[in-house]
Amino acid sequence: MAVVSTGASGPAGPGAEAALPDAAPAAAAHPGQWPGTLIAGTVMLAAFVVIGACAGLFGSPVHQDVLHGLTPTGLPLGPGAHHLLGTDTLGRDELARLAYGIRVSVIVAVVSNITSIVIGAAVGLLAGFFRGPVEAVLMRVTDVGLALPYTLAALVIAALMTAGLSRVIVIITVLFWSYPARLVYGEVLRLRGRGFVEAGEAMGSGGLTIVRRHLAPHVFTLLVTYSPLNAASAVVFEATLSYLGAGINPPTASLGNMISDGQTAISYAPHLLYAPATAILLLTMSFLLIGEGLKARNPDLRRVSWLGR
Amino acid sequence: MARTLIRRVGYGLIAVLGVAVLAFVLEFVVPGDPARAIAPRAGSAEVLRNIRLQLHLNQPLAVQFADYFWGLLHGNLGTSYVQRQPVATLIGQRLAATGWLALAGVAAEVVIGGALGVAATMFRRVRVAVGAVNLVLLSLPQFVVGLALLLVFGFQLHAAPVTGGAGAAQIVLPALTLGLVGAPWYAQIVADQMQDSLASPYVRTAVAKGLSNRYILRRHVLRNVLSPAITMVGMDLGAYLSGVVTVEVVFGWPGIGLLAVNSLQNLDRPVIMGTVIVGAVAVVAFNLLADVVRMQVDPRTRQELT
Amino acid sequence: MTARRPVDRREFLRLAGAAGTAGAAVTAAGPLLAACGGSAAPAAKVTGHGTRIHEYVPGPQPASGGRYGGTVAVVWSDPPNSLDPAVGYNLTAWDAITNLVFFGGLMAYDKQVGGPVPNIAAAMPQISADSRTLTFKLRPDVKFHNGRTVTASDFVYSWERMLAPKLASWATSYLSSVEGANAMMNGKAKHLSGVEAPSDDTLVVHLTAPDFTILNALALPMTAPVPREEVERLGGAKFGQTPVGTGPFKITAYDSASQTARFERNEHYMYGGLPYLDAVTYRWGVDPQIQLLQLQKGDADILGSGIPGSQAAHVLATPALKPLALQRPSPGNVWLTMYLKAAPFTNKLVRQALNWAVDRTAIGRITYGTNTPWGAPFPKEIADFTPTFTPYGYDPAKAKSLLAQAGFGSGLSVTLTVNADDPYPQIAQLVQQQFGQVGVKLTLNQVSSNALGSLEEAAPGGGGGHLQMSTDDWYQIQPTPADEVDALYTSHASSNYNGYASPVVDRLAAQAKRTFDTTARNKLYAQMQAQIGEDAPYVFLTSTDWLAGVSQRVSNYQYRGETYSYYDRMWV
Repeated sequence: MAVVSTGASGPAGPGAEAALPDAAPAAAAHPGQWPGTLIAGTVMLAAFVVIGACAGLFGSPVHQDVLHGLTPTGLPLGPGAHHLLGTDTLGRDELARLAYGIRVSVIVAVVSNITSIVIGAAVGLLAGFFRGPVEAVLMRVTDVGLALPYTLAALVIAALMTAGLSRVIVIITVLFWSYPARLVYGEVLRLRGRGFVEAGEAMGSGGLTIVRRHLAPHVFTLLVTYSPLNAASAVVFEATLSYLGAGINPPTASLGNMISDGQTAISYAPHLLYAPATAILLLTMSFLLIGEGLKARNPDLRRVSWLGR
Repeated sequence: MARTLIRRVGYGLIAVLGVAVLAFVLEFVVPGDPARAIAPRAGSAEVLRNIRLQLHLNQPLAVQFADYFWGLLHGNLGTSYVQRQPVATLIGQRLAATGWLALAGVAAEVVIGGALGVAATMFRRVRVAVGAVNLVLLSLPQFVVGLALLLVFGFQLHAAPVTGGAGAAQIVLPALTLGLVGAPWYAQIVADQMQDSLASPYVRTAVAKGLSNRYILRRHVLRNVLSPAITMVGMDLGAYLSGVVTVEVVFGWPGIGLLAVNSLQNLDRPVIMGTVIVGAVAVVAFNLLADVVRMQVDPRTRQELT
Repeated sequence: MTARRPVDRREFLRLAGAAGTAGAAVTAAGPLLAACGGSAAPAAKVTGHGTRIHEYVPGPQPASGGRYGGTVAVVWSDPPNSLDPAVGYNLTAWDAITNLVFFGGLMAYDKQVGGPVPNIAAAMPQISADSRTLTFKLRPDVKFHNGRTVTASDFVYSWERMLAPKLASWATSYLSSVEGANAMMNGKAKHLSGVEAPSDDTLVVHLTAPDFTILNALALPMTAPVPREEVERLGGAKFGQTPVGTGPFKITAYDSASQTARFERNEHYMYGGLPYLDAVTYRWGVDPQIQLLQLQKGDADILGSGIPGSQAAHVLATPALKPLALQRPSPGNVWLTMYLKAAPFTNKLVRQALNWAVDRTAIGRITYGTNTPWGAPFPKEIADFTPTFTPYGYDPAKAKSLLAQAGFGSGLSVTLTVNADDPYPQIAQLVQQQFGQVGVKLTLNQVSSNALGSLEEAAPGGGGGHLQMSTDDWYQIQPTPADEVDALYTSHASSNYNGYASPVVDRLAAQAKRTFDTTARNKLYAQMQAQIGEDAPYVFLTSTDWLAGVSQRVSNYQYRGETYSYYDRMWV
């Protein structure tokens, strides 16, 4: 029997940026400049994109070699000369699968991250800004979104759409959007409490301007903090979907279903888990670095600690 | 205040109802036949037909819907198709264990995450280390963390029980697993809010006034940190009370998560509905509770309640 | 510790009488020999200090030679769906029902692959000349766990309870050949007219038509007797958790919250001297990988579902773990169904071609000791069966030429709907590659097992946007090809979803049903096997095996595919 879910306790929880060295006061604000973290992160992400785009160079991810790709006792091969990262349980080259898996997972991560956050932020902003009946309705819908059992929702969507990348993206979007919605809503209310909206109104700005100029920068910070974690969660959550049969279908490789397969082989072929897990780790790191860099560029953020140390 | 509260509770009930209705309808979209789950080796078509008859599976959706919700109004959650036990009993038996694990898990992640976040903010040198730890914890699937803990502490060091159960000794590792996996989120929020506050005009003034660090932290920083943390705790409690399948499976923890997943695979509709409703109530209730608590802690947010 | 019962004259006669009654069917070669102290079957080592059981106990042998005392812990992933013998069907439930709380019924399966022999019945039934009436004499010494002696009217009550529509039992069709059963199943009768209990120890069963499979049904726990007073006292729900039966163990605890159950020795078990163990405990909700860990570390003694497929190769290849894996035959098959109502599967040549296009050895390699390559219908090992059909092998050239002959020389495109449970996705991916080499492009569509079942049922025959091919399996609960034939291969078979209809098979099947003589009957099944193999309604892949996970602390672990682990004869 396949092993059960991976990933965080369901879709992404809320989060903030990692405390990485560049958030130190000295590197506080670089408006207009390109902080090192942003460059580093972008380069890493670019490397992943290149690997994914050129995945074909690594060989076939679906060719099974049951005779020579497995040990005499039928177990996967470890890393070696012929297969740099070894083989999986069907004798397929792990490196090729990793490359193709990166391609799939980068797309899933980036696209579903954007869609879930855009929808969530929009809902949260509208609810927090307009108050009244709009808020009531939107927040109830968000509550339903939070309370909906993700397994059931995933299976339903899986039944309604044909297997593939779009289906996974849709499922992740539907299951993830309510978290940023609630976070953004909370943040907007907090900002209201600190008088940002009133200040804007006092200055005579119209609704949209207030949203754009006074609320959006802070919300943006929150989202930029939240986004890398969201993206990382999406990639790992795809493993849960694979287990349910709602993810990327075999024989296509994705980091998620490679982790799902790798979990059962921990005791005799740990490379099957380490390879995709490391890839996810590095991918997450690239998102985090980008997030850090974007925040450092934001002129509204002065992160110097007055506690003087 | 009381009025708003009542209104929020009312809204909450609407949300729960909405989820229940949605879940009920969605069950019919998922392909599969509950009768086959009960009789996988049905010797003949008659057997399946009889089972459908007994379970009222042949009736139109509207009738089944009305039947179910009418029963719900009377506090009847129905009987499991597969286990032939009342759903309320099945869920009730596992609710306590689920509740304890949820509380312990949240406590663990708040403590671990909070500690990491504070350390990262206050002590420059550990910032990189904390960042790295966060990164690793974030990228590890929950199953792997749980399995690693079980292998090391359970099987190698014999420091923890390995054969399942729901006692105080058994809750440590599962709670720790949830804590480790959820910690990065709290670490981020805590670090973020602390840095934000420490850079704020209030703190600058307080430092200029010569107030002690402890006072400043408590008075100005804590509130800002607690606010989003409480939101997250509310969401997490709700989520954990819907059942954490991975942890339950690895440690054999008798919660409702496994019950929910199995019921979905078997299309055991009464149990699915039961777990969905319990989950929905938990999510709505704890989000509401989180809002109330946050209001007390940070009165500036008081006006937010609709 | 129970005292050993001496064999008295009445017992000796019973054992002698088991060797044959007019018209009686099946293999029961052992009893006389065993009663004389020898054992004909290949056996686990019987220690000199072990307890000798003097009565012959049906099932895989030996039953003698054990030490008393101790507890065995069995781990599972799923909870038993119900321990009510008429309702329980999942592995956890079936194991407890067949070998703990109950043990067979009137009959019980014998040896490793043998047929039914008397159990609660004192001897093989007297069968009337027209083979439609069976008269059973019951043993006088069988007691329920509550102390009451089993009488013939208990059987009448139990069968009526099982057939009543309200219980929604999955097993009702196993008694469908009994007169009046259908009327009960349809709700038209309150009592089962075809069964009588003229005296406490006599049970008369009337069949609508001769049907030898009734003896198999009577060996299965669905037809075991249950005490009315306990069913009524406990109520349906509770009886499903703490049933009362006649088996070697009685259930003393069922705790849903802690996911455990405990079964303790039945001191008044009908087979004196058994069981050896004091108790058996079940623990469920344990992930299969964790189960293996527990077995390795000694925290569990038996893996209820065996060694998980994903770990099998690893276990067999690791010297420290290999002793924990015991291989046993398990009658079942795995195949790819081809839906026959639409092209290209209307063409027999295409179907045969696909059978030649599969490298079953490769499948055997990746399913590590749980599947044996077998390109033919029916499981590979059947007692008293001489096959005449040569199984399909791997011959891509032949496959291509057959395809060309059928007009598909330029290739073929087919969708295979795959069960998402292990090991079907892996098998499907292998087959996809193999088919590719003969020009058949296979597209895989993975769905949950429940969904697959519904899809199959919804469109018998396939075609028109419905299923083209699907992964399937069958596990027998009767030790005869009739189990598969009656379920899959006759034209009105209950699980025949691909529209296979062969007048030859139908005729032979009906004839076989009436044939109580095993040898003659199995000749008919051999003919059916040849016909079905030739018609190739399925791409036959493998015959299944069982890899049991048993701690070295346990001795004499016995297992049958139909009834699972035998706890009465194991010791620690």
